[in-house]
Amino acid sequence: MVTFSSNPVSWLLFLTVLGGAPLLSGIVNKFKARMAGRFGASVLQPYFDLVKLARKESVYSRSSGFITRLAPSLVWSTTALALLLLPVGPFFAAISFDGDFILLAYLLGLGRFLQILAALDVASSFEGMGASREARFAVFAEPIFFFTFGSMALVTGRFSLQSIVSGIAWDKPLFPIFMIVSSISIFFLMITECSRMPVDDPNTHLELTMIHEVMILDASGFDLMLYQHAASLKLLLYAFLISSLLNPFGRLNPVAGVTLFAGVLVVLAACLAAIEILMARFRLVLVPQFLLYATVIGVLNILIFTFSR
Amino acid sequence: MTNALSILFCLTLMYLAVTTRLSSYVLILVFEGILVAGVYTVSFFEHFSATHLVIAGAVLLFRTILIPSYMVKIIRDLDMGHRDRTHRYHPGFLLQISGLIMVALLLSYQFSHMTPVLVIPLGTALAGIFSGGLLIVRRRLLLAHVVGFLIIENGLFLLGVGLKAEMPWVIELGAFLDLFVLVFLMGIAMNHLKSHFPEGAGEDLTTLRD
Amino acid sequence: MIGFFILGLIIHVAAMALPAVQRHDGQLNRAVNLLNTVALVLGLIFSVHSLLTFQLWDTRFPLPFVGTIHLACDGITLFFLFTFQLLSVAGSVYAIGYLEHYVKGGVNIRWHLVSFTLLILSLQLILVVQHALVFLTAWELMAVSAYFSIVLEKDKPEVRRGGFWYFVATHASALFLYLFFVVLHDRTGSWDFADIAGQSGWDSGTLALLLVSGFLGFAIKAGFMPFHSWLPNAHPAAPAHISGLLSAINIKVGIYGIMRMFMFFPTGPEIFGWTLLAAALISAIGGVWYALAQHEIKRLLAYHSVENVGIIGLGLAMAWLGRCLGAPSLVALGLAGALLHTLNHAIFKALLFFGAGNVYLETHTGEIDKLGGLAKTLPVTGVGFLIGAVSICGLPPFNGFISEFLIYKSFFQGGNLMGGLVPLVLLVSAVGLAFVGGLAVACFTKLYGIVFLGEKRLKLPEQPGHEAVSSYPVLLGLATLCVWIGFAPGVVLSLVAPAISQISGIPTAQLGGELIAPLGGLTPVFALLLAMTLLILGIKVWTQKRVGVRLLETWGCGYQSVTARMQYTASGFAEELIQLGQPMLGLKLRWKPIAQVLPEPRMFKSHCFDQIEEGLWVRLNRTIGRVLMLLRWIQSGNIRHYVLYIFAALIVYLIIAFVW
Repeated sequence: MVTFSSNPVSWLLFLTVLGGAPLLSGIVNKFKARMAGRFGASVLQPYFDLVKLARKESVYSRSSGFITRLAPSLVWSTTALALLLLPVGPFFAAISFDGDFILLAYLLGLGRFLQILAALDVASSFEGMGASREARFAVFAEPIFFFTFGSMALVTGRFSLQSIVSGIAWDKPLFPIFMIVSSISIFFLMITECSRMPVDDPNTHLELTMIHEVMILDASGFDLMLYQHAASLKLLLYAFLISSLLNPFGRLNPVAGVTLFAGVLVVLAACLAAIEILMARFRLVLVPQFLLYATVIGVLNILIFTFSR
Repeated sequence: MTNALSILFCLTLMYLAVTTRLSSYVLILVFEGILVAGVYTVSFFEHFSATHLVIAGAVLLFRTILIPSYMVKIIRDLDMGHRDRTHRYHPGFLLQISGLIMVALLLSYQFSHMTPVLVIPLGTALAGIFSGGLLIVRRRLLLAHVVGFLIIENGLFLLGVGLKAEMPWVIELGAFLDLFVLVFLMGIAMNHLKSHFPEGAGEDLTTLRD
Repeated sequence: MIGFFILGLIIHVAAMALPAVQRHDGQLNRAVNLLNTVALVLGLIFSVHSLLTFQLWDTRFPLPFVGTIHLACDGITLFFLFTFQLLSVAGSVYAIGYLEHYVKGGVNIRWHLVSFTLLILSLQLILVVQHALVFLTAWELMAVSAYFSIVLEKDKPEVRRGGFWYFVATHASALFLYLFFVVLHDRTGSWDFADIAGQSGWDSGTLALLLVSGFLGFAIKAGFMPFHSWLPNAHPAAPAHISGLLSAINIKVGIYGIMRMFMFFPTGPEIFGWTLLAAALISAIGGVWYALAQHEIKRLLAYHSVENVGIIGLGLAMAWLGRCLGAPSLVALGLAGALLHTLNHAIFKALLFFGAGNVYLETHTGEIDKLGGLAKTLPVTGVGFLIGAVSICGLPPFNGFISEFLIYKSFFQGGNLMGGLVPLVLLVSAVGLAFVGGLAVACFTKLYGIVFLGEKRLKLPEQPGHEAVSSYPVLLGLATLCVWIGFAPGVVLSLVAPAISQISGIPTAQLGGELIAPLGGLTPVFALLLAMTLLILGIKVWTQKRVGVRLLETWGCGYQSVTARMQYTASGFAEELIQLGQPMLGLKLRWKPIAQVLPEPRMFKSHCFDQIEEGLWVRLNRTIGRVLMLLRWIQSGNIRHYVLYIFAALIVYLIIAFVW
C-alpha cells in the first residue's frame, strides 16, 4: 500500500530540503577552496547564483522545439519527487511503499531521458557529445543502484526505503561491513550521477571534460536555474541515501540522530572536496571500468554476506 | 577478522585488473604480503608458537620487503618506463577477474558443505590462484608474468589457512625457496635480455624464437 | 454477448469478399478497413464485457471429418482477444490513411486487403479454438495471410526476402507444434485442449519432449533469442500498418501458446521455469543491444520487440516458478506483469511503428542518419512518438513502468520465498532488467533525438511537408492509452484478473485487494509529479513574460560555419556501447583515414550485422545446402532414371509385402 506520511513534519522537511539543497553545494565548494589555500566564495553563493539566473532573460536556439521548453521543469520535478521518497534522518519518508526504490531510480531515469533529448534538440555537436556520454554512463550506473538496494532488500527482507533503513540491524556482526561497502558503491554512483571528479569536472564547460555541464550549455535564465537547482537536489539525494545507510537511528534519540545525520553530510562534502583537489579526471574511456568496479564491489559484498552466514 | 583481510585481498585483485602502472604492481605485492601475513597470524592466534612467528616473519620479510624492492631495483636498472605498454584498454579484464573471484567464492561455498573449511579465506585463495594465472595469460610483459606468479604463491599460502591445515614449517620454507629461485632467475633473464636487445627489455614476450 | 463476436467475424468474411465486387481501389480501401473496424469494435464490446463480468463462454459442435470442435473463451483467451482486437482497430484505421499513398501510386492493393482481413480474422480464431488440429489450421491461415500482407511491395528484393524469412520461421515453429500436438494426442488420445489439461502423470521422457517441442514452437514465433533472426528481417519489409500489427499482436500468439502450456502442465518441472528465465534474460539484453547498433528505424524497433518479448518471458518464468513452489501470490505478480506488458508493448510498439510509417511517408527513407528535425514538420507524430519512446523505456508515469514494476516486485518476492542461492540469481535478473532499461534509454534517446530533434541532416527530395492527418486519431488514441494505463492501471488490471485467477487459483475478488490496490496508490504519486511540473512550468512562463525571451542561433563555440551535418550521428551516439558489445554485435567499419594536411572528401561507413543470424542460421543453411548437394546426383534429369526409381520402389514394396 502506498502510504502518505500523516506527520506534517515530513512534508515541512521536504520544503526545507528544497530550500536548503544549494547549501550542500556551497559547503563542498568552500571545502575545496580552503583545501586549495583560497578563501573561496561564501557558503551561500549558490543561492545568489540561482536568484541572479531567475532574473535573466531566456535565450532559446532557433533549432530547438518543445522539448527544450519542457525538459527543465520535468527534470526539476522528478528530482523533487524522488526526494519525497527518502527517509530524512529519523523522520519517516513522506511517500513510502513496497518497491519505492525502483520508482526512485526510474524517476531519475525520466529526468535523464528528457535532459538528453533537450541536449540533442539544439542541433549542436557539443551537446550531442555530452548526451552520448551521459546515455553511455547511465547504462553502467543503473545496475549499481539496483544491485546495492536490491541486495539490501534481500538481506533485510523488506522492500521500501523506509523499512530497509529501519530494518538494518546494527548489532549483528556482518551488517556494518555490508552497509559500509554498500555506501562505498553508492558513493561511486554519486560521483558519476552528480558530475563530480574524477568522472566529470563541475567547473568547466570545455568539451573535453564535460558530461553534465555541456548538456545544459544552451540553457539560460529560469531554465538554467531549474537545472542547477535540480543538480544540487540530486547531490543532496545521494548524500541523504548514504547518510541514511550509515546511521543507526533505531537506537538514538531524535536530536542526536539529526546531528549525526548532518555530521555525515558534512563529512561527505569534505570527501568530495578532497577528491576533487587531489585527483585528476579519468580518461572518459575508463569511466565504464570505474562503474563496473563499483558494481563488482556490490556483487562481492552480497556474495560474501551470503556465504559467511 | 580473517574475513575482512581476505576481502581486502580480493579488492587488491580487482585493483590489479584495472591498473597498468608498474609501481601499482609493486604496491599490490607489498599490500598483499601484509594481508597474507595478517591472515596467517590472526587465524592461528589461539595456539601461537615460535614456528608461526618465524613463518609470519619470513612472509613479511620476503613478500613485503625483499621481493618488491628487488623488483623496484630491476625496474630502475632496466629503465622500463611507467606503464605496461602492451595493455590496451578493455573492460573485459575486470569482468574476467571478477568472474573468477565469484566462481572461486562459489566453489569454496560448495566445499564448505562437504568439509569444514573457512569459506572466505578459501575462496580468496582460489581467486588468487585463478587471477594470477589469468594475469600471466593476458599480459605480455615479463614483469607482469612474475607478478602473476607471485600472486599465485600468495593464493597457495592462503589455501593452507583456508583449509585449516597447518603445514609443517619445512614446506613453508620450501615455498620461499621457490619464490627466491623465480625472482633470481627473473633478474638474470632480464639482464641477459637487456644485454642482447638494448632497446625494450622483457617487453612483448609473445614468441620464443631466435 | 457472443452474438456480437460472431457478427463481427461474419462482417470480416464479408469484407474479404468485397474486393471481388468493388472496383475503385480508394473506396475499396476505405470500405474494407471500415468494415473491419466495425467488426472489431463489436468483438471488443464482447471481450471487454466478458472480462469485466467474468463471463466465460464454452461450446462444442460436431464437424463431419474432424470430430467435435471445441471453441471456448476463458480468461486467457479473452485477454488476448481484447489486445488483438484493440490493436487491429488501430491498425485498420491507420491503414486507411497509409494505403491511400499506395493507391495514389498505382499499386494494386486488392489482394493485400483480402490477406489483411484474413490475418485479423485468423488471429481472433486462433485464440478461440481449443482443438489441436483446428488450432494448427488457424496457425497456417495466419502464416499465409501474414506473408501476403507483408509482401505488398513485391518488386523490392528485400521485401521478398523479409517475407520469406517470416514464412520460414512460422513454418518452423509450426513443425515443432505439430510434433507437440501429435505426441499429446498419442498420450491422451484426444485433440481437445480441455482433455489435455486434465491429464496428469506424465512420464519424464514424454514431458521433456513435450516441453522442449512446445517451447521451441512458441519461442520461434514469439522471437526469443536465438530464434529471433526472422523478426528484424521480416518486420521492416512490411508496410507500416502491417509492421505495427506484426510486432504488436502476431508475435503475442507465441506468448499465448506458452500460456496454454501453463494450462497443460499444471505441475510442471521447475527446470522449465529456470530455462525460460535464462532465455528471456538473454533475449532482453541481446535484443536491446542489437537494437542500439541499428541505423534503420524499423529494424531498430523490431529488435526492441525481441527485447520486450524477453521481458514478458521474465514475468512468465516467475509465474511458473511460483506455481512450482505453491506460492499463488508470486504467480499472480508474475502473470500480471507479463500479461500487462503484453498489452502495453502492443500499444506502444504499434504507436512507434505507425509513427515510423508517417516518417517514411514524409521522407521516403528509414535511415536514421539522414533524418533530423522532424518534430517541426510532423508535430503530432513527434508528440506521439515521444510518448511511445518514454513508455517503451519503462519510465514513469506511463504504462511501461507499471508492468516492469510488477516484474521487479515478482523478482524480489521470489527472492524472499526461496532460499539458498536463488535470491542471488533473482537479484542478477533484476539487475539485468535494470541494465536493459538503461540500454533502452540510450537507444530511444538516440532514435528520437536524431530523427525528430535538431536540424535536417541531409537534403531529401523535397515534397511539401504534409503529415497524414488520417493518422492523428490512431496516434493520439494510442498515446492517450499509454498515459491512461500509466496513471490509472486499475481498470486494465481488472481485465487481466480473470486470466490470473484461472492459473493461480486466487479468486478474483482477492486479487483486487492484493494486486490492484497497491498499484492504484501510484496514481496520486504520478498526479503529484504532474502537478509539480505544471506548477514550476507556470512559474517559469510567468517569469519569462516579465523578463523576456529571445531566439538566437545555437552557440557554436566560435566556429563560423556550423552546418547541420556537424550534429551528432546515430552511430556516433551509440559508438562506445556498440564497441562494448563487440564480439556479439559484429561491427564492420569501412573508411580511409585522412592522409594529407588539407582534408579531402572521405567516406565512413559502419554497419552491425547480426552475429547470430550470420554465424548460426545462415551458416547452418549453407552447410545443409552443401551436404544436400552431395545427393544431387539422384536428380539426374534423365527420365529413364526416374522410371527406374519407380520400378525399384515397386520391387522393394513387393519384397517387403511377401517377406512380412
